[in-house]
Amino acid sequence: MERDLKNILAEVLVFPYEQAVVDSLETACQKYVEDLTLGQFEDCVLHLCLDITAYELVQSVNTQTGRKFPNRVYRALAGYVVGEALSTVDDKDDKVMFAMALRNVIKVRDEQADGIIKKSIDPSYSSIVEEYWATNNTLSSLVGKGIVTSIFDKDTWADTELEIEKTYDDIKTLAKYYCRTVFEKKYSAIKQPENQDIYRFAYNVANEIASQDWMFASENPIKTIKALGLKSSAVALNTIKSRIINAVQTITDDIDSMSVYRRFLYVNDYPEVGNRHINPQNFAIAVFYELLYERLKAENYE
Amino acid sequence: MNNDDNSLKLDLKTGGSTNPPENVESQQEIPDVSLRYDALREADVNNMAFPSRPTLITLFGISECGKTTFVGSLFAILRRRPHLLNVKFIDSDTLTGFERRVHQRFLSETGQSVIQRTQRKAGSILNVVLGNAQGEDKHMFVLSDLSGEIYKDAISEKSVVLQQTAVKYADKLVIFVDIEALLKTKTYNSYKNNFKSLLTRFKENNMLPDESEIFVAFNKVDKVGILANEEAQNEEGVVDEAKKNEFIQLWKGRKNAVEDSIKEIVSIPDENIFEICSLGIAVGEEDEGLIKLFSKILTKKQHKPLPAAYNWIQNVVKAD
Repeated sequence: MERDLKNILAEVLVFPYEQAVVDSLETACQKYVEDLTLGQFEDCVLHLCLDITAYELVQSVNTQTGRKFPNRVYRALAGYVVGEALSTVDDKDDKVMFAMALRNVIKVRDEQADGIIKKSIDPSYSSIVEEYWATNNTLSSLVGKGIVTSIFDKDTWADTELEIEKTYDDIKTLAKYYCRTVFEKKYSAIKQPENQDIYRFAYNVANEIASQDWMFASENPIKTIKALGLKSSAVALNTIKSRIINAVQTITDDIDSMSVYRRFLYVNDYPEVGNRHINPQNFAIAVFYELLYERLKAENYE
Repeated sequence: MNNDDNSLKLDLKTGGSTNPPENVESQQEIPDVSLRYDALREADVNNMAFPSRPTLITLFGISECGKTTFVGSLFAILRRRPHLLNVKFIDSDTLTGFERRVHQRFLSETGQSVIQRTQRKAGSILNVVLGNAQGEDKHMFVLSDLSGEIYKDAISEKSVVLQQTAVKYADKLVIFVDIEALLKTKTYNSYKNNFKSLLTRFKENNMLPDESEIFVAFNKVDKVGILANEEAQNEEGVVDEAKKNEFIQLWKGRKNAVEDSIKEIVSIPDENIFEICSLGIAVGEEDEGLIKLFSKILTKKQHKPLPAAYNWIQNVVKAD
C-alpha cells in the first residue's frame, strides 16, 4: 500500500501544508519507524485509535523538524507510523506482535481515526495473526517407524529398543498430540454452567484457551470458540462489566501490560469503551486475542 | 474562549495600536485594526486547537451579495435562538470578527452606509464550536468570509483565483447570488455574465472543491415582492396585479437562467438551492430559507465508516 502523507494529513488539516513541511514530517516519521520498539508501536496505536498522546513520537518529530504541530497532526502521523511499521518490519515475531497490538485497539477506535486508518493501513495486515497460529500449531509427522506400537505394549524403555536421541522429536509430537486431544475432548463437551453469565463463561473459556501449557493446543481457537454456541445479542461493555467483574479472578497481572477490554473491565481505563456493544462470541474472541498478546509479550519481550 | 484577556491587543502585523485610528470619517466606520478575537487569517486555521478536523464553510460571491450580513445573522441566531438550528453555541475564537459583521449587518438593515466593507487584507476566517441540542458531540465550523472585492478581482485575474485556497478546500461552498442585481434590467446581464465568468475561472484553474457540498443562496428574496410592487404601482399607488405577476415571472426566468449557468459548471442538487433573506432574523419571523440553509451548512460531513475489511473480528469469524 502506497502511503501518501499529504493525503493522510488532509484528514486533520483544513488547508494542506506546503510540500516541504510534509516532506520533513515524512522523513521524521520514517526515521522514527527505523528503531521502533513494541512499546512505542503500542503508544502510536493508542494515539491513532483513541487520541492518547504518544509522547515519544511527538518529541521525536518536534526535535527532527524543529517545530511543533497541533495534536491532531500527531494523530495522523501516528497512523502513518503504524502503517509504515506494519509494512516494513522484517522480524516475523515483531510483525505478528505489531498486528496483534493494532487489532486489540482498533476494535475500540473512535470515529475520528477511521479516515486516517483507511489511508495509512493496509487491512491485510490482520491476517498475519491467523497465519502465525496456523504455522505454530502444526504437528510434525512421526519420523521413526512404529514408535506408538513400540511403546504401547512395552514395560520399560529398554524393551522398546529405541534410541532416545533419535526418537525425541516423535515423543514431543505425541505429547503435543495428547495435549490437543485432551483440549478438543474438553471443549467439545464443555457447556455453559446454568448459573453462570454467558459473558463470564466466554471470558473464562478465552482465558483457558490462551493459557494452555502448549499454547497452540487448539488447531483453530476461533473454531473452538464458535463451537461453544455463545449465541446472544450484543450488550454494552458497561453492562458486561457489571455482570462479570465480581466473578473474574482477582488480578495479579501487571495492569500496564493489559489490553483495552481487560483494562476497562479491571481498572476502568478507556471508559468510552463502555458504550460499545458486543455479542458473547465476539467478546470471547477479542478477549482471547488480548490474552494471547499479553502472554506472547510477557514471554518474548519482557 | 481561548484567551482570558479581553483588552484590545496591539496590531502586530500592521504596527497599529489600541488607539482609535486618527482619521475617523464617520462613527459608522469600522476600525481598521486587528482586535482580540477578531477574524483570523487562513494560515492560523490549522493551528486551531480542536481534536478533529474543523469543517470549512466558504462563502463565495461578488461584493454586496450579502455574505457578511449572512454571517452576522448566523451569529445572531446562534446567540439568541440556537434551538432553531437544533444546536448549542459553545465557543468561538473570533467573537470580535462576528461582532464586526453583526454591526455591519445592523448598518445595512437600517439603511446606513457602510464605509468600510469587508477588508481585502483583513482576516476572513471565523469559527464557532457547536454541540447538539444537549451540548454534546462538539464540532468546530470555520467560516471563510472573503471580501467580495476579491471575487470581483478574480473575474479578470488568474493569480487572484489561484490564491483562494478557502474555495478549493471548502467542505461546504455557499455560492451567493444577489437577487437585487438580477431584478434590475440595468445590471442583470453584466451581473449574470460576471457571475458565470467568476465560476468558470475557478473551474478552469481547478480551484473549485472536489468533494464538497455546494449550495446556492439566492439572497435578498424580500426584494422580489418590494420591487414587484414598485414596478406594478400606478401614480395613485394602486398595484396592477397583472404587472406584478409579469415581474415575478421575469424574476423566475432570470433565476432559472442563472441556476442553469451555475449547473453547467458545478453539480448542485435542487435541494441545495435556497432563496433566502439574510436580514430575516426578526424574532419569531425568521426567514425560513435562511434557517434551512444555516441548518444544512452547520452539519458535520457524513462520516464514512471503515470498510468491512478492517473489522478483523467479523473476518476471523467468517473465515473459519
